[in-house]
Amino acid sequence: MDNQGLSTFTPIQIVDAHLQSQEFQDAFPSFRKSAKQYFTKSGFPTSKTEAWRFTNISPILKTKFKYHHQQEENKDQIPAPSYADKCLKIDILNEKVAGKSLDHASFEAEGILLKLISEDITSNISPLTSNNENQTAFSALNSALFSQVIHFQIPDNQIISKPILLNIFSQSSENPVNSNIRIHITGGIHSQFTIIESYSGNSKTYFNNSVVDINLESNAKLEYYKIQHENDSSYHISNTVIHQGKSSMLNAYILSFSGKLIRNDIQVDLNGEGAELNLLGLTLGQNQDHIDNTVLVNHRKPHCMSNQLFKNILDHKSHGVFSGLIAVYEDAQKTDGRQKNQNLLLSETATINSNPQLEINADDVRCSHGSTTGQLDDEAIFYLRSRGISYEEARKMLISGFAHEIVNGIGYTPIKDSLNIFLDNYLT
Amino acid sequence: MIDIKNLKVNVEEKEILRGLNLTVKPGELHVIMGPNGAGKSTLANVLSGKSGYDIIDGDVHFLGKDLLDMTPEARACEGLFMSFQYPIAIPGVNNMYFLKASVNAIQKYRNEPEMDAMDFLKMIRSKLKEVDLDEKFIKRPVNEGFSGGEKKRNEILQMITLKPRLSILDETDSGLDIDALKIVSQGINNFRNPERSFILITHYQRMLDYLEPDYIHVLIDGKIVKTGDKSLAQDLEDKGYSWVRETMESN
Repeated sequence: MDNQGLSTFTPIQIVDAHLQSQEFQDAFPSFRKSAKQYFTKSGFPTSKTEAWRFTNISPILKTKFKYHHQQEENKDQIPAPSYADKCLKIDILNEKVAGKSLDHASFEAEGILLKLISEDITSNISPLTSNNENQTAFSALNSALFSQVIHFQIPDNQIISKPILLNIFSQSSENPVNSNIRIHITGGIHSQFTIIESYSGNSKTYFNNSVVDINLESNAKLEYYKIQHENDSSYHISNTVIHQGKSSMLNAYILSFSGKLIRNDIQVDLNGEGAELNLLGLTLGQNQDHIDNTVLVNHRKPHCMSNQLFKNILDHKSHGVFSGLIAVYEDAQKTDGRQKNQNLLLSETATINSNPQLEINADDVRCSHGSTTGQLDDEAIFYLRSRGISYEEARKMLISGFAHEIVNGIGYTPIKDSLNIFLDNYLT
Repeated sequence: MIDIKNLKVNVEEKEILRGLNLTVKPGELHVIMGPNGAGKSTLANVLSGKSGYDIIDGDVHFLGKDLLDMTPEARACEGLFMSFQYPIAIPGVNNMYFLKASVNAIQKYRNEPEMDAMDFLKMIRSKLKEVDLDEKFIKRPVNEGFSGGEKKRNEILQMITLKPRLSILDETDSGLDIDALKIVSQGINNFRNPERSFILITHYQRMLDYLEPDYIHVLIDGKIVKTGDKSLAQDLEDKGYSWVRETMESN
């Protein structure tokens, strides 16, 4: 299959080409086969597919992308967030780790087992399984095409003091590039760590299709940030599946700031008793951004707690989607599941589709969900103005106030600070 | 201080104020009483610059400037303050942050140096004592979860912090128990001086037991129909507004 050169293909063409190959002679035959199986049975979603009702992916399917784009590691440094030097940083350029900038020693010093598993490794690697059994066409596309697995493991009882920053930068030139980013993370028993998955790119069109698998073993504690600063001509589809073991604890933040089309499929499986999940999302939509968060929380075992709060602030012609399901399985007695979606529309042309759902198959549970959408409160603006505060400042204060519950909940201060700065610019 | 001449205001085509005249001089406390729907809150809202009111005729001069031309924030910066009848809750906005933003917006307008956090905290602590509020109170979001009495005390806290020249107190006494009423009245009394004026809008004379008004005005059907001293409030309490209407007709 010639996809390394100058040729470009649409995702449908590349999948067709992929289906024709009989043998998968790289390091990941099982992933390739399962992807093939997916596409043999089903194809890409259409506007009639229920789960994609509000997100039209035809612009992606029509675009001819370059795949496995070999990026020269050049003299220029890969742009990184302001707090990067406080973190254990992994630069990822398009879909591969930029090896030159990777400081293996600092990972080793913290006891992190970091492995970059590439196609060219033919030796036996430890069995790699995926939580992402190709739930969507895009995770299948990723399984068919990824060229490297970024795999790290936090050993049992290890407490990692510095956050691990996955600094993912996308670079296209004349032709748009599709990057299939694949990340597998395991947090051992009683481990504690922070992951920051941060996306940005140059100004050309690109398509990030990421799959992130996280396993938290019993009593593991993770603070996880997904930060999306994509340019306004680019696409980002992510499939994140997190398995939580007994008494594990996850605080996750999905912070989406810009992108032509962003779709995050986030699935958390509470697989062990007493697991706890706090899942917070903040979307700041502007111009023609389309940002879709589709969340599934599976309560599979008793005494688990999940708390979701997704807030969308939408300006101009931006479009937000929140689709959330809490599924409580038969065994999951004493479940405490909560889901809240709150939306603030700053213009007449911004839109939101909100679809919170509950599916309960146990009888002794406490679940709630709700969704509210509104505009800035004129009475509140007048109140602030009557105290000498300008209209612009009053508007800013109210919007920041709306975001405050999320911003204030962020545990890692440098992210909180950079979010405040971003919010300030967004509001100016 | 303020000079209101022949003020006519409509709300959605309906005449609410029909040629209202009122002059308040520095240091004076004027009380406006009147039945429901007479236009009391409309007057307060129009003076503070709320939108949704059509000014048909008349003019208002505040410290020599045309008030009706100014934005609400400019009015506040020029020294006008309204204590709201129903102060609104603003979730996510910290009360202290709000008060500091407000003080500094006014300082900036007047080309005076902005206050830093330390100076502000020192100042606000002494003001909190005057209205008998705990410091915890300013760390909460503006008016969120405040009781009726706390909201009104928060309004008075803002007044004594911003030091306006003219304070319009729109039913500041409503929703107050007797203790809170005393605290709020005390706050107003301590704040009075020959440079500061007040327009107090109320239904009841009970707050007047604690304050010393210079004039009582009766507002009926969008006009001030009777003006008197403190004894007029007692007459109204005893005889009701129908008594005013009857005396108007017999005149």
